Amino acid sequence: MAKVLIVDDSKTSRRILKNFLTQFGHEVIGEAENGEIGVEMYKNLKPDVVTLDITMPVMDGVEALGKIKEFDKDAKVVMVTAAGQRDHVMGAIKAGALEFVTKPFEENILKKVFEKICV
Amino acid sequence: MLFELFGKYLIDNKKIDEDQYNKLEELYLSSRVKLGLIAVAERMLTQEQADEINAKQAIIDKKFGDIAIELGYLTAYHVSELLAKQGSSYMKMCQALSDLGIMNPQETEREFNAFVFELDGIEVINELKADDVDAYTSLYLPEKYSNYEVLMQIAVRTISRIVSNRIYVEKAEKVPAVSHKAISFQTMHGDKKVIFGMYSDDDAILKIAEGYAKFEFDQVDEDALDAVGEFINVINGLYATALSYNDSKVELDVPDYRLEERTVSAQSDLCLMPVVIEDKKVYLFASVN
Ligand SMILES: [Mg+2]
Repeated sequence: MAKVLIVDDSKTSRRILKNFLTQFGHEVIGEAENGEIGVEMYKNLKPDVVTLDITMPVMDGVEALGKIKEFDKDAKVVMVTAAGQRDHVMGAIKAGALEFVTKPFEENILKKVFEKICV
Repeated sequence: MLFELFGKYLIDNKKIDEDQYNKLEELYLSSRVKLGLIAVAERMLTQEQADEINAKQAIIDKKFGDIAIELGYLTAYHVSELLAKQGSSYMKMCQALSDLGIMNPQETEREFNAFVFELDGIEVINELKADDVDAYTSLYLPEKYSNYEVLMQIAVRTISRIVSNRIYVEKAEKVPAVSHKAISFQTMHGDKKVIFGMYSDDDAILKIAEGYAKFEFDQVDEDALDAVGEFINVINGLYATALSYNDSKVELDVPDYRLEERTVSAQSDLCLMPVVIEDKKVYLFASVN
């Protein structure tokens, strides 16, 4: 079981993700609606895992990833993307993201990703 | 798509009435196509041969295909070809029309050809028979080989995959701008300037929101439009991928939605395409420059 911070500008997507993660037995300890708030919350809450949406206002997920990694090089980050943002995903993996999931969320895939990341 | 569009064609041409359409729909959704009907429709057997095999089948416990092979009417290869067509939408339509005694497979073929001719789709008749969503979408666009074709195809295909497979498109048109309440859209920039969005007159847009979220929304509010925005983001993400295969790069901006009336326009005209999802009409609009 992990303490998770969800960073996504879409309330609907945060709700879907939270429902799934709670179902899998994880605890969502915080939600942020853009990268800037997400980075601050990461520093305060020190979650086990943070999910970062890529397309967000103010600060996008890729920039937030950099800032979180600067603060905590061991941060466990899952990138969340619309299908197909290949270049961003590759860049994020290079920058230290462990995994990525695509929207719309699929229960089985999400479950596997979190099982893998939480060992 | 095939059922709804061909069905409407048959109504418009007074081949069936509304009542028959509804019965047809029920049968279409539930029926399993018989191999004999496909063989006749594909001109691999005559009606007499099919009847002969059916009569034999009533006495001996053997499969239709096996009897046809024994009688020398079909080869094993032909039978496997027919089996592959059993799930086909066109064949299901043939079967349903035949079961209701409205028309036999030959008559259905004649009507379907006329339907395709009216659509100017003879070149893609096999795709239309296979219920290929992309082929239908293209034929309902206002011009051939347009730069928004791929985007519209991805949009309609994604709706049929994620929201509902009971959808059909209507003739699209080109408009200078769209003005409406509760429009959700997203722009993309880079090698191309792209706008893609959607709206509906009533609460039809909730079909999209619920298709993405997999839970219900009571009304068209900010939360529902947020879900629509995420669905648009999915479509545009797929479109960005399609573009990247042709070495075109675009970045997705944050989806934009507002409950109040607003006008959206682009550098050039927008293509406006109605999509009917389980009897609810949603308007898609796109521009690619
Ligand atoms: Mg987002």
